[in-house]
Amino acid sequence: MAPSHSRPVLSCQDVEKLYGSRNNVTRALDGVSFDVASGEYIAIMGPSGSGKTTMLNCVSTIDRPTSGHIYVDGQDITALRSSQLSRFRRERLGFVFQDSNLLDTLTARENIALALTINHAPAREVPGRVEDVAARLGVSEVLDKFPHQMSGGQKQRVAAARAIVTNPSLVLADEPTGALDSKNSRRLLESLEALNAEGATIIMVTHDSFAASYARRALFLKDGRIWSEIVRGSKTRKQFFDEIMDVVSFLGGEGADVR
Amino acid sequence: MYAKIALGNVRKSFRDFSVFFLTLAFGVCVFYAFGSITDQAAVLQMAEDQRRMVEALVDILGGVSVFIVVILGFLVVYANRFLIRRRKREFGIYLTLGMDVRHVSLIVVIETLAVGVVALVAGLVLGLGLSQVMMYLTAHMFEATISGFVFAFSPSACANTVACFAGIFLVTLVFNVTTVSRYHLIDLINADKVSEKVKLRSLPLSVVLFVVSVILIGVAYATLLEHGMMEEGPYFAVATGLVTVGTLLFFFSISGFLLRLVQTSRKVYLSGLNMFVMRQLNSRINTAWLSISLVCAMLFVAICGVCTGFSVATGMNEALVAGTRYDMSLVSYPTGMIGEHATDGPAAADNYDAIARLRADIPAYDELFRDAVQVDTYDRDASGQPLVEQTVEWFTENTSYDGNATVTQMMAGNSETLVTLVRVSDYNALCALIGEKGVDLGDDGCVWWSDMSSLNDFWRAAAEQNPELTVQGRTLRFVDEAVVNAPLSDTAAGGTVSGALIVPDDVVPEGIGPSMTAVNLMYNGERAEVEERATAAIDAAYGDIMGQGETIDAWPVWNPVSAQGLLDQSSGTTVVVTYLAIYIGFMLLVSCATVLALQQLSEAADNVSRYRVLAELGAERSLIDRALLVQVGVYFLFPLVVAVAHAAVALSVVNDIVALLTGYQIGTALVGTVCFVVVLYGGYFLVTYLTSRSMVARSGGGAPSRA
Repeated sequence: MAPSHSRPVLSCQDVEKLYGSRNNVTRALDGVSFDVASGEYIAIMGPSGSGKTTMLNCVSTIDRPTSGHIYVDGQDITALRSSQLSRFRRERLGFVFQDSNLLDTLTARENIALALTINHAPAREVPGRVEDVAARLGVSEVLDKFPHQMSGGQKQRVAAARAIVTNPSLVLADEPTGALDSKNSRRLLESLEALNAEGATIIMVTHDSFAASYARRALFLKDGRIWSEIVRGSKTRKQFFDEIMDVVSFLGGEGADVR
Repeated sequence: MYAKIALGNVRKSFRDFSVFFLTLAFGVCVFYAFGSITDQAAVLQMAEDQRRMVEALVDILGGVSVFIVVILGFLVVYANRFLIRRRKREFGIYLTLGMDVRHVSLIVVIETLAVGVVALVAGLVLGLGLSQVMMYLTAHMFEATISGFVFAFSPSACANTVACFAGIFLVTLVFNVTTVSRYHLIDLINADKVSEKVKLRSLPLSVVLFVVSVILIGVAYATLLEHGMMEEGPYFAVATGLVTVGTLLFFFSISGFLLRLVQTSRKVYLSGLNMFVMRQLNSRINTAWLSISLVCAMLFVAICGVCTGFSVATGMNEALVAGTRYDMSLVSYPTGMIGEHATDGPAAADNYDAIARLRADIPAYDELFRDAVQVDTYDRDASGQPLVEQTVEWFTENTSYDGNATVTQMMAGNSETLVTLVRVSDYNALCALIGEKGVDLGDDGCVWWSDMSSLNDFWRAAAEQNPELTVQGRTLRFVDEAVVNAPLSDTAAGGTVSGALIVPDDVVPEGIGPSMTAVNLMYNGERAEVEERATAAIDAAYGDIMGQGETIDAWPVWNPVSAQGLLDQSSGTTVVVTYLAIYIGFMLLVSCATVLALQQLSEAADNVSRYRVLAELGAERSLIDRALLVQVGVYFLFPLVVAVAHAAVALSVVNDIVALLTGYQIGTALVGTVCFVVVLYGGYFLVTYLTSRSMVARSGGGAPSRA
């Protein structure tokens, strides 16, 4: 499936991020530009230090680019004041982290509901929406458990449920499979794939080629620039995986990740 | 190098050290100020017996200070433990870098010492200021004078303070070094990751326990209010036991109960961060309920202590005003105090005329005294039979009185006490002496005489329900205003007569001896001027019999009381009681607030990651701040509310006793106490909230943008 040609949900234009002092500048991002259309599922890959996490941080407003613009739903988020940022985050973004980041004092149900209550969702809608999203991610049976009573995979899927329950414009996943074994990774990736099929726009940062092969498009960063881009199109996941592997081994340094 | 690291640490995380610092400085300040009272008094010009009073005060304060030092020591160690715990990971890094455990200990020692020394100096400076203020306050209370501006520095108090706190430091140091050296590297490195296992109690159980706790506390309140503190039997102990268990259960179960309660309202539970806050409280109370109960108990003692102290002091002052209407009172027991009923003593020989005897014995009588009134009270006739058939007990039993338990209790205790008779002419002469209106009884009227104002209601009820009495074959009716209140004699005790019956003169049989005689004298001239000569004259005439041997022989003076003497004595007592109340109350309050503050700060430190998640989910800064405010607020407010409730009930009972003794109502002192608590406790609350907030903000929670 080629990227649809509707208005892009995310548009990065010439994003630069510099770290360090005047004499010792590190260019973490060096003029990155790309668009993500609504309903897309893209993976951002690259070796350590390539700038992929910085990119994600800029998109998620956890960090600000030094120059360039990032538009989400046509709104320039680099121009947002910090008071508007939390509103932007809770209304437009959903996060899935490597460690699920669930609140350990809350049950799974409450963790998911919290994303809604922070968003001022009407209380009567909350239980239904939580049940729905839990069913979609296959975590209905653990809803009343606390994080320490769940497996790693279950926690990650609850986190994914929390990320999408608010119907965000963008779901940002930072190494979501990083802490999971292969069986649970597969389960989570299938869940994300299913969410994408239902219309969610997902950006996943990973250095795991297997995880990336679930996306519809893969961007490769190297030294703060987009080095290449491949699109899955009508290829099978296996074919896409092989293609990704080729790029990865060409880029070097990440070959050890082959599964 | 280690000193550099240590001092750098202190400078960089001054906020974390602030509670530790404040606690120390406050402690030192108050400790010094109260320790220096002896030296403050030295610069005051005051009378000799006031000086004795100051010495007594210093002795008592010395005893109390031991107790205070123990509390402070505990606090300092606790505050310090919080600091150490927060920095496990930092210590871990030092160790991985190859530093020796001893060196890490050294860093800790230097840090503690640096903060300690600065706090000690700051505390001493503050203490100097406070003691200066106290000196003027003391002077005012003793009505002593300070000539010019005096700066009092007390080397001994300073040395004591330094010694005590050096001791506390030493304990802290030993504690720190052992703690640090017992850590294992792996635990230190992982300190951030290992979060407290969240233990959960079943919510229904919490609800049941909460209901039980409320019932227990309710029963305890009811028991105390009904039976008071003085009643024989296990009531007071039972009430104390019930309220203790009830309070423990209350704090054990309250968070679970609240959680359940809030959960029943979907609208409330699923709104903003309410869910998070409730869960947060519930997860922590598991470890905190015991210390919160302890804080509640300390607050209770502090509030009760300060309140009772103030009201006893004020009450005593007021009682003193009422009890010093006459310049001098000479009390004797012409027929014996303990029921001898002797009719052959020296009093009988004088025909019971005490004033005539005084005139005869004191050469300068007319020079010293301008006026005198003798009041006699009678309880038995010549054959030893009671003059009034009914005893005080009879009136207690035959009066339904629904006032406070303590009064009923005290009246019931007077089982054998006889009702005494007083001639109305005696009473009216007394009234004339102090310029008050007398009483007109007609031929067969009578009134109750009570100069203890708190018992008025009881005697009024007694007169209403038993309006007629037969005394010595005469039927007497109580007149309309059935209780009169002129003081019988000078006293600091808030009254000396209760339940005497004032009757027409001819009701009292002729020729019998009074059970008690009081001669009230007015000086010829200013009270302060005549005082010394008058007491000397009484001493010279009766020094060998007053208060010694048989009461029958001590005619006409068994117990001399002078208004000036009472005033001199009790102004000191007021100061002692007030200072003690403030000292203990202040220290307990600071201790409670510190424990809570530290608990909340260490909690905020542990919770930083949770708040970061909230921020990432897009919770607004204001929402997070509010959640934090509620959490800190609940911890500060709950023990205070419970303590105030307990104190209100306890004080209402104590009030009865204080009112009985001094005629003063505690409520007046409560306002001052509440202000005192709010300022001190509220200050700690504010510091805690602001510090936690900045801790959360610094770590990224609530303010994730780094522009």
